[in-house]
This record gives sequence, C-alpha cells and structure tokens, in this order.
Amino acid sequence: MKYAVSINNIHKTFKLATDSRKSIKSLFIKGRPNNKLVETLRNVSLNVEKGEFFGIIGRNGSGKSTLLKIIAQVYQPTKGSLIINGKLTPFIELGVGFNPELNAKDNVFLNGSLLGFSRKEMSEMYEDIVDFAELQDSMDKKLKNFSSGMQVRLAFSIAIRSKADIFLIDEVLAVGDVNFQKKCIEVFKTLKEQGKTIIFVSHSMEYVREFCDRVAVVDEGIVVHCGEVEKGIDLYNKINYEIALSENDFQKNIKLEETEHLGNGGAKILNFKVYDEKNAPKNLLTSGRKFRIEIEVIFNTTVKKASIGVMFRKDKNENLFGINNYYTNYKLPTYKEGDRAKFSIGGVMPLSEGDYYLSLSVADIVSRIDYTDLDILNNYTKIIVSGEPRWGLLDYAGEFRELDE
Amino acid sequence: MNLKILHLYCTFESVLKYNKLQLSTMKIITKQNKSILRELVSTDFKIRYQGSFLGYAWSLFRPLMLFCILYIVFTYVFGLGKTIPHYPVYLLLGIVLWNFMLETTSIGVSSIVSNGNLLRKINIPKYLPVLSSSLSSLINLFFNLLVVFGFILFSGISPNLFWLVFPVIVFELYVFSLSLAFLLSALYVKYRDINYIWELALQAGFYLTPIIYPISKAPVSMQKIIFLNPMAQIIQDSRWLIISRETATASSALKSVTVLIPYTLVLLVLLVSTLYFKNRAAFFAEEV
Repeated sequence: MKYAVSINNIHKTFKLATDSRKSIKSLFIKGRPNNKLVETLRNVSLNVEKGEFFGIIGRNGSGKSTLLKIIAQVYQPTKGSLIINGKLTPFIELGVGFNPELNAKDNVFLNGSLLGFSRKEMSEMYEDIVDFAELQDSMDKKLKNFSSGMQVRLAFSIAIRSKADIFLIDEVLAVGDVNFQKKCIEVFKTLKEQGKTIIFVSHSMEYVREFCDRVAVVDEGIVVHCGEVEKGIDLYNKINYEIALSENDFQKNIKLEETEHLGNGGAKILNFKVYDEKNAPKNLLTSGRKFRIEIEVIFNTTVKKASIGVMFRKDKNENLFGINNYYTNYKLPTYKEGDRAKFSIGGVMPLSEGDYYLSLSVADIVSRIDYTDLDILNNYTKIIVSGEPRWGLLDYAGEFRELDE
Repeated sequence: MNLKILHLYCTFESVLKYNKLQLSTMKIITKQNKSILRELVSTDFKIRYQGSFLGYAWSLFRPLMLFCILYIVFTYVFGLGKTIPHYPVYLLLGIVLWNFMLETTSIGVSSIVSNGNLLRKINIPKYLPVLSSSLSSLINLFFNLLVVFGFILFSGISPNLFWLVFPVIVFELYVFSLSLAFLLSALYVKYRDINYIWELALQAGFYLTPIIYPISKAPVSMQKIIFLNPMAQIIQDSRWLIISRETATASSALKSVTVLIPYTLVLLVLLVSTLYFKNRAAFFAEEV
C-alpha cells in the first residue's frame, strides 16, 4: 500500500457526436451512427506515492484534465483500473457547486457539504474560513456580486479544510492576486509537510519546479515522461516548441504571399528565418544567447529611407522590444521598384523563459512619428524562449551587494 | 372493503420492499450524502422563492388559484359540482395530488442536466439532484395537504380511521413520481426532446385522470381503462379514504387480477427507472 494512486493501463474514449445534443429523431432515422470515437487517453499507467507532490503537465487538450477527472472518479475509464488508497478530495476545481444566487454564507455550507462536512462541522469552522478568506464584511452578499478573486479566495479557504489524504489541485494559481498566491503557496507547503499526497496540474513551470517531487508529461493522450521534474519541463517546452513550429509551418517556407499583409504594399517581405546562437534555423531561442532574423524584401516603389524591423510582443498588443535599422543608425541606400534585398537583424535575447509573438515590418521612415508602413506581418509567428525562470519578462539578474555600515 | 384494505397493504409492502432495494443499492444512508442532500434541498428552496414578495406562500396560492378557476368553471358553467357531495374538496385534493406529480416530474426531468456543472466536476452519487428536487416538492405537498385538510374539516367531513391509511397512498404517489423523475432525468441527458414530450403527456394525463370531472361521468367501459392509470387509482383511493365512501376506486371498478395493474405499473416504473438510471449514471459526467 505504498501508492496513494495507482493507475494501470487506462484508456478513455469519448463518443463525439457531430451534434452533441441528440434528439428522438435520430432513433428513427436509419443510417450510420454519426458518432466519432475520440481516444483521449491511451494506455496510461502512473503510480503516485504516498506523501508525494506529483505534477501533471501538458498542453491544453493533451488529456491531462481527463486524467484528473478519472482519478477523481468523475469519469469512468473505458479500460484499465484505478486504485486509490486514502480519502481523496473530490475537487477538480475550486468552488464546485457554488450558486451565484445564494449568499456567500449559504455557499460555504453548500460547498462544505460537497467536501464531506456536516452542517455542524461547518458551523465550527465557519469563522476560520471567513477570516482566512478575509471576507468578513461580505458574507451576506450574493455570490454573484463577488469578484472572481473573492470567489476563489472563499472557495480556497473551504477547500483547504478538507481532511483528505490526497488532494487534486488544478490550476489554482492561475487566478487570484499576488497575496492570494502567497497564501496558496503557504498552504501547499503545509500540506507537503503534513505528508499529504498532492496531484498538481499547472501550466506554471515555476510552481511545478518549486513544489513537485516528480512530474508526468501528458501529450496526445499518452504519458510521455514520468519522473524527474527538470526533464519533464524540458520535454514540455520541447513539445510546445514543436507545436509552435507545426502551427506556423515556419521552417517549411510558408508561402508568405498567401498570408495577410498589412501596409500599403510598397514593399513585400518575401521570406524570413530565425536563427539561434548556433546559426541553426529555429524558433526556440535561449535567454542571454545570440539570435538573428534574416528577412528578404522586394520593393514595389522607390523607397528613400527604408526601415526594416522586428518586434517581440508578449500578448498580441504589448510591445516588449524591437530592433530596426532606424535605431541602429544603419544607413540603407534608396531602393527602386523591383529591387530585392536581404537583411539580418539580431542581438542577444533579453527576454526570460516564455513564448512571444514576433512581428516584422518594412517602412519608409522620415522620423519616429512620420513614417509609412509598406508591409507588416503582425504577430506572425511564435518564438519560444527557454532559460532560467525569472520574475518578469526580462532575463536580467541585476546586481546585489550588502553595504558596509 | 376488507379486500380493498388488503390491496392497499399489499401495495405498501411491495413498494416498501422495492424501495429498500433501490435505497440500499444506491447507498443513500451515508452521512455525507445526507448533508449534501440537505444543502441541495435548502438551496432549492432559497432559490425558488428568492426575490418574490410572497415567497413560499406562492406554492400554496398556485394550487388554490387553479382550484378557484376550475371550481367556478365546472360548478357554474358546466354544473358538474352540484351532483357530487363535497365537490370543492374533492377537486382540491385531486389538484394537489396531481400537482405534486407534475412538479416532481417536470422539475425532475432536467435535474441531472441542470446540475451538469456539479456532476462534471465532482464524484457525488448521481441520484442526489433528482432526489433533492423531489424532496422539495414533497415538502410543498405537505403544506398543501395541511391546507386541503383545513378545507376538508371546514366543509364538515369528520376525521375517521381511514385517514390513517392515506400516508400509504401518498407514499405510493411519491414512489411513482420519483421513479418517473429518475427515468425522465436519465433519458433527458441523451434525448433533449423528452421535456417537450413529457409536457404533452402531462397535459393529456390531466384529462385522462379524474381530477376535474367525477369518474362516474365517464362511461363504465372507459372507467376501467382510466383506472389502469396509477394516478387515477391514487387520486380516487385518496378521495375514497378521506372524503367519501361513495366514490369509485380502482378496486371497485376493476375485476379480479386487473385490480393489480395500476399497482404493478408503479412497481414496473420503479424497477425500469432504477435499472436504467443506474446503468446510465456512470456516463452522466461526460454526456451532460
């Protein structure tokens, strides 16, 4: 009985009806059933030891949520067996059963009952729960008038009261403010100290690295790695990178003429490639290492002061940094209609671990505010940067020293 | 008459036996399920009457208003009421019992689907939402019956020993309604037409059951068919027990073994619904 959770050769197949809502009509109409079978989990075997902080990572749609729901016994596996030793918190998400029309107090009792507490037990814990959530003044309000942050705080304060041996935690840290996240971390540490088993699903590699003893990487319904955390995270990043590649079909010389070009058409970006520090064409770059981007442009009009540039963004509208010949003061000749030219733009990658959008542009520039866009490929491809985890978007460690009195 | 009481007790015994089977297979007794059930019922009550000025009083007003309308129409327009002794309470009792079945099944039909959010995320016994909505209706029935009995006493009918058997009929009604709710809620997960079909069935059922008209107005051959319907049997037995020994009942209208048909139907629905619900419950989380 060493294992808290033991999963053996589990398969899960969903029937995916083309129209998920069936009608009586379909009973009477003959023909091929329009059900498509989707194999969400294939031959998954995992053992989670007692007292382990076990991470499950994978992209959206990889099957990790299905796996978690099978462990929580919400879904029945199609094949295979599941053995659970110990009491399991049934929570996949926080605040299950919360009813927006009820006031917060009633919701505490409702949620508590689903966690396995009697009304009496809940009454005893009520004050503590409210204090922990810091919602003393709002408990008579209807839950629908709570902000999402308040709801999560309340739900979390109830959930941690659970007297389970095995906790299933799914993306708790994605919500809530910094203060709340700190509280979560404290709770995780306490649970870990108490020797509870925790199964933790997260997209935050920072937290996975900090807490997990072992990690499973799920991809397309298969456990592709189970064990060492760093190896798992590397694999996860690699999978993400490969997906980004195939999504953008980046290295296969995508036909740029078929994609949407912004700008007035005075020039056109024919081709571009991203190279890493070893000069290999890749869009997986490393913090603090060199990279460069090669761009090939054809000019359709006379351009006296061409400016060729790239821009990195985190989400699709916030500029992080850009490089162009206007700022680097590189003088380019006047281009005439039909001229072709190749440029290399690059430097040292200043961004920290994460994925970013790359945009490219060609402009005719007089000054920083007086320019004409000739061609723009907006948020055209994803660039994945690997490196040390940092607090923030920049890979900058800074300097630190103790001052002499 | 002894035969009739015997029938009633037979029903009671067998219903109880089957119900025990259902209850034990569904492990209803755990402490946790009890407290979930309690919270679900109280949530249901709070939500249902929230924001309305009269609140809970509506659940009493609604059948009373329906009663007033039907009473006026059938007494003054069709002149039906005059031939039947105690027609007002006769009508009221029928409406209240029918309304219980209507409420339990029409709320019950969507109870799994509307709790999809819950069932998709947490492993609780799948019968809890259905059971909790039926318990809310049962509480309503209790208060409605208090009003009905007030009227009954007011109209000059004196209590007698037959009244003690009435809870057995209520129990049969509850088992029948709950079983239908189980069946319908499980079907509704797969077939979203069920609620419309059931709405029509209820409308047809309202006229196929002697609620507003006295059973004696129907031709004798028709009466036999009407009494095969468990709701007709339940409502007429209740009237017989509480209001008047004059009224026809299933056991007086049906001959020999056919007398068992309405009771058997209740048990059949119970059995089919239990089996079907248990069979489907494992897939509710992924199908709702």
